[in-house]
Amino acid sequence: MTPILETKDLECSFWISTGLFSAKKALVAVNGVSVQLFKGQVLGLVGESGCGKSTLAKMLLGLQKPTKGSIFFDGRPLEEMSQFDRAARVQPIFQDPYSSLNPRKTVVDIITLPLRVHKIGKSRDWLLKAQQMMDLCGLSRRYLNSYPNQLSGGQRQRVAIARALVMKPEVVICDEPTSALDVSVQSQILNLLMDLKNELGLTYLLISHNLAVVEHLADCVAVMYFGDIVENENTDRLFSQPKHEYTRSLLNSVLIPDPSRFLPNKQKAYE
Amino acid sequence: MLNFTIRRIILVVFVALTVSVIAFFLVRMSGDLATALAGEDANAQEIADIRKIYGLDRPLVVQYGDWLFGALRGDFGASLYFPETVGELVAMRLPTTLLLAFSGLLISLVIGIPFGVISALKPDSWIDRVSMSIAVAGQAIPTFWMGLMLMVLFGLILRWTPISGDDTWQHFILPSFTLGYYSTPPIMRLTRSGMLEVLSADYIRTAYAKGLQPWRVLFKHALRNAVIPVVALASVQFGHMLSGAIVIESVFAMQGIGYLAWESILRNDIAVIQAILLIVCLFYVGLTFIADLLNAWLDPRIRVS
Amino acid sequence: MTDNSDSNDKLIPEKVLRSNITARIFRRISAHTSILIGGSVLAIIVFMAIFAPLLAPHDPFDQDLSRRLLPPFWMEDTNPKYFLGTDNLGRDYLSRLIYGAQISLMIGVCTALLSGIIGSVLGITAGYFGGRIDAVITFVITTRLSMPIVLVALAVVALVGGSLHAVILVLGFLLWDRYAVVMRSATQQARNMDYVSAARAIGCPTWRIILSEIFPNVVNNLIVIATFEVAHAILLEASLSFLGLGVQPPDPSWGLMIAEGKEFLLFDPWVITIPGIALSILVLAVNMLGDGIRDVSAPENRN
Repeated sequence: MTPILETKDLECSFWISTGLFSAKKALVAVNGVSVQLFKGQVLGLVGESGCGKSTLAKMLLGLQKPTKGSIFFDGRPLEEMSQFDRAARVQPIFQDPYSSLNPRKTVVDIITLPLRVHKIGKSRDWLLKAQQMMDLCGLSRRYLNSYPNQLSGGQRQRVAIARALVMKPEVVICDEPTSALDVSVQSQILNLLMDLKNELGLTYLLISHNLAVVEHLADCVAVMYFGDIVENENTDRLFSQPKHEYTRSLLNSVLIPDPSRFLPNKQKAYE
Repeated sequence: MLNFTIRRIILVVFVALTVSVIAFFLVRMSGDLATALAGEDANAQEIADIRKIYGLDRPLVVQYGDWLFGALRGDFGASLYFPETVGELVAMRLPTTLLLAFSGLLISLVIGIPFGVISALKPDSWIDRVSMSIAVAGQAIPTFWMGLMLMVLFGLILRWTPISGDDTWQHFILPSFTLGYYSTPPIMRLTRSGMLEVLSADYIRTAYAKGLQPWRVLFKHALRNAVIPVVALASVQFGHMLSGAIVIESVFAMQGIGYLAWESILRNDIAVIQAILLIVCLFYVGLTFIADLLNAWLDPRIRVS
Repeated sequence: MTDNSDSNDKLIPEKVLRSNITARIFRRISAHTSILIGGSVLAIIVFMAIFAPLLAPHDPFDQDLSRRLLPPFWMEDTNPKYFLGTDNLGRDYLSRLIYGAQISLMIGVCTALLSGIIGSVLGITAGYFGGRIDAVITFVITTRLSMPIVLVALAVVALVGGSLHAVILVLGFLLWDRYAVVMRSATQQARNMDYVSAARAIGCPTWRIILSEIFPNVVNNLIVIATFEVAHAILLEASLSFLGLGVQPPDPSWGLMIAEGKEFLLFDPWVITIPGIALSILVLAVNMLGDGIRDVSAPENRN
């Protein structure tokens, strides 16, 4: 079956000037990436900071132009789609709940922005839609006319989720959706995301550096290292039998808060 | 840093060129130079002759080039009203203005920096609030009016200073103060905020914790770091003083290029106006360049952007 | 261990020693006080300017050399009909003062408006689009900053002839640099926020992002700068008029009144004192208002 979202040899390079008189060098952020996302799946994308995960996400969202390669939605290339088309199909949830909401707009304005831009429905429907989305995302209706600075981090992230889902997209790109939240709130939001996925039949690209989250939620995992996908595997298989060197060292570096286990590569802990 | 400097120099050259173009064309558009030169009673033939003699019938671009190359050699042409060449005129008057601007800057630094430091040492104390209030109030007073008021008070009523002219150093007291006080508040504020920032920095607290005497900490460490942006600001303020000199020199009847510029503008003495405009602009360009270099040296983030 | 004597303690900044709650409260109150005082004084002056025809006791242009240089009410030989005395052409000073407010305010507001539009458009465009557009606009800003305003304004006004409109246009086209610089950096900051990325991901057109998402976040800075630029324009017009190249006689510009009174400095100093005080009060009120607004809306921008 056709993947709902697919990239073929996707590449993104930036030109950096290295000095006044030397030629510009190319910084390859994403180097020939080919991944497939199937409907209803959660694809986890892991890697260290600076490996190109965010650049890849931006290209899928239409925020960054790829230098080479192509992106396909349900078999249709991205170039053939209009901005609106693409926006209706794939939406983001960003990491920082403090910068992803416009401080000068109320919650209802933020959530209904996609509807207003795409002119979906009439203005009297928008209020109702916003309320529905808030219910769906577990946000009390009394925050309808609140400003972001009156909300907590978790609440803001719910607003961001509501905004992302209001147009009923097919794919949601979650770029570290819980990294900036308190630990207690993280699980709430992750559970919300999973419930919504099942309820609305969504497909997620879950970008995270937190391997525990990915192991728990993703069906497949792609490991990214300096612009390349070094391993792309079913979750269970990846975590139990990592094939690539880098995947192995990544898994090894995770610290497990269990005093009976030793630190990686160290035998003595409490002598 | 070198990279940044070279890029800046290239930028500066372009800006200087652009500014020279503006200086030339702006003034030229004030009317037909040939008519002005020929005088009131000239007829069409005389005007045409003058146009030929002075090369005013050539395309403007050529005239601009001619003027620019002359200017680079120091030849700015002739004045309509003075026997000396424009170059000589400017050379005669420039020192007065530079001295005035320099003394003004000195006064603003001498008052601004110490008060800024004191305010930083005791933020929100009565000294801080009073000096900041005086600063804010001072910025509301028009410079020319303040000059006149000071002239009345110190020159006429108290007779402590001379009233006008520029012969002795006493003549410079009132004009310098008038010119300088307007720049004092920004310098005071910048010193204050710079010192506040530096003094709350961790390395200063370490210095105190090490047991260094507060005096030493203040002067050797804190002030040294806080003063660089102030020097950059002072550089820009110096430029503003050159500009403000026009008004002050008119008020106090001092023979500097400011007064010369004003006279020439009123009399449409184009060559002089062009020359002064170019020179002051070049000063501005140079001073801003120095300020940029200082700020970039201090804050490496600026070099990258 | 070194011994910190008491005299040296005075040099250790209070900030390091203790935090001052009263100072913080004072700062908040003073911000509102600034707005209150500045705003009310400004409101009074605006009222005076609007209702000048009703408030002024005489026609400001009415000359009568027989009653020239009458002193104001606090001196001897005063004529109660002419409360603030008369100028060298016998015109009632109080009336000229009141009408003069119209000129100063109009110049301040119109210039700030014109230069605000120019500067904001340039700044926001440079800040949002970056790249080559930013480089060009920055070059324009740098060039403008390399020109002395007073000199250029004088030269241009001499070109076109002095008048109210000439001054507004010239100053409006010269005083936009602060707006451009501040709007540019504020726009750059806003541009990097995720809510702009979210808007783009939604497919929001560029014009809408700039107007609807970015502008509300930079408008605070705009208002503060505009207030200070009003003051700046008022002072510049006064200087230009004083030098004879601004508003022309017989209009009652306060700067012009000072110029006209210069000759009588020795014996009739009130002629230049009164308009000068008026100017200072107006500019001070505007500056206080600007300070207050800035402290209330974005206190981190102090200094």
